[in-house]
Amino acid sequence: MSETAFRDAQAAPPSQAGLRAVIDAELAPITHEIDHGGLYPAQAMRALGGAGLYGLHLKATAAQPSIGAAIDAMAAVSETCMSAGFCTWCQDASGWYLEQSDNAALRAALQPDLASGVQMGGTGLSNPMKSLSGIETFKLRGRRVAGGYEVSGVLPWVSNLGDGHVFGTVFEDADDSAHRVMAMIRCGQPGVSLKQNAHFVALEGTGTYSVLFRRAFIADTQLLADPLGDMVKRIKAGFILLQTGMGLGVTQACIGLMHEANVTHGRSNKYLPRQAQDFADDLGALRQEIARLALTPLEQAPEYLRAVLTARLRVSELTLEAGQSALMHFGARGYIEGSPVNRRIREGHFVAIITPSIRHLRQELSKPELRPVTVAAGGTVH
Amino acid sequence: MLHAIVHGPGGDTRLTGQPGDSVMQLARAAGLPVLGECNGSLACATCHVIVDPAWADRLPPVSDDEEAMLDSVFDLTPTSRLSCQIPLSDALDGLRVSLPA
Repeated sequence: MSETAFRDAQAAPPSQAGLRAVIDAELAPITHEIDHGGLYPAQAMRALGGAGLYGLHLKATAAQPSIGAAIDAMAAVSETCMSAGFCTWCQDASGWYLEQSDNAALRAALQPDLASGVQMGGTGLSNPMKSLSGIETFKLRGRRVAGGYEVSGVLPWVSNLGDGHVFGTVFEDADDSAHRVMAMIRCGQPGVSLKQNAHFVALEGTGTYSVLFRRAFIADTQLLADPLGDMVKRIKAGFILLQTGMGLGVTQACIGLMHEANVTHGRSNKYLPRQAQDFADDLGALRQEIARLALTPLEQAPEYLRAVLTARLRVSELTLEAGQSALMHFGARGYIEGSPVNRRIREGHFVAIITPSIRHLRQELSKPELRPVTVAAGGTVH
Repeated sequence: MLHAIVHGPGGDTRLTGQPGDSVMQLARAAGLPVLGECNGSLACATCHVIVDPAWADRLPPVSDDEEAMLDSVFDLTPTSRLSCQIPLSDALDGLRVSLPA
C-alpha cells in the first residue's frame, strides 16, 4: 500500500471504544499465557496494528501525528497487559526512528507496514543510550566495507523480536570511536541471529532475545543515520515520552485493583496512607504534564528535556508506589501466586528498570546543564 | 583459597575465591570492568577475557553456546573465553587472563 493510500485509510485515529474492543477480544483472554507461558501475542499485536495503534505519531499514517495519542493508546493496552504495552512501545519507537531519519527510501519501505502491524519492529537502543551517557561502552562495532559495514558484537536484550522483525540500533566504527552509525537491522539477515538463554520475572512474552552479530553486513540502504550526528537528540524526547504509556496504564490498573479490594476491605483500607483517589489525582496531573510535553517532541531546550526526564522518572516512581499500594489494599490475597496484584508489581518494576532506568534518569538529571524545574505531580527532583 | 590474576588497564589484579567461583563473579566483585550482564547464562559476551596461552589448554572445553557468543566478539583471539565459564579449581590456581582492549 502506498504511503498516501495508507494515510487516507488511517486518517481517523482508532476510537477508544474500537481500541477497547480489540484489547478485550484479542489480548485480555491471553494475559495469563503471556505472563506465565511466555507467549508472544503475535495475533493481538497484528490486530492492534490493524486498528491503527502504531501509526498515531507518524506523518505517513496519521492526519495529525500525535505522540500524546500514541501514549494514550499504549496506556490502554498496558492497563490490560504491560507485555503487550511494551511491545507496542517497541513498535512505536521503531516507527519513530524512521520518522526522524533522512533515509526516505528506508522510511517509505518500512514505515507503513510497521504502522499497520504487518511488519513488527523493535529497538536496540538501550546500550547506545547508556553508552552515550557514559554508563557503558558500545557493544556493537563495525568496519567500513564496500556498500556498507561489517558489524560484530552482542546486544544482550532486544524486545519485540522474531524471525523477519526489524529493529534500530547503533554501532561504533572500530577504526574511529567518535564515528557512530544508526541502522535498521532485520532479524535473520546473514550474520544476525537471536538467542534466548535468560528468563525474566515478568515480560517474558515480549520476544526478548540477545542479538548476535557475526561479521554481519549492514548495507548502506539500511542506515538510519551515518554519522549519528544529532539523530539521538531528535528521537530522545519522543522515545522517552512514549515509554510513559506503559507506566500510566499499569498505574491505572492498580487504581482499579484498589477499588476492587475496597469492596471487601474498605473499612480497614481507609487507614492506608495513600488511597485510590490520591493515585488517581497524581495520575491525572502526570497525564496532563505528559500530554503537554508530547506536543513538541523535537524541542531541544534544556528545560524541556529536564521536564521530559522528570516526567518519565515520576511515571516510574508512581507505578512502583501504585503497585505496592495495590498489594497493601489486597493484603494476603494479593500475595498469592496468580493474583492480579502479583503481575502488576512485576510489570511495574520493569517500567523502573528499562532504559532509561531510575538510576539512569537521576544521573541525567544531575547534569549541570539541566537546571531544575518543578513538575505537576511530584515536586522538584534533587 | 584459590587465585587468578587479571591484567587490565590498571595493571594486574589478584582475585581470590573458592573452588567453583567464576572468574566473572570475582572480577566483577573486584570492581574490574567485567559486566557479566546476563549473570552467566550465556546470553551476552560482556565478560570476555583473553586467557594467557600458557593456561588456555587447562580450561574446561568451550561449549556450543559459549562458542556462539564468542563468535560475535569483535576482538576475538585464539584464547578468548567468557569468564563466566571459567570456574576456579585447583588445576587453575594462579590462572592468568587479560581484559580485551
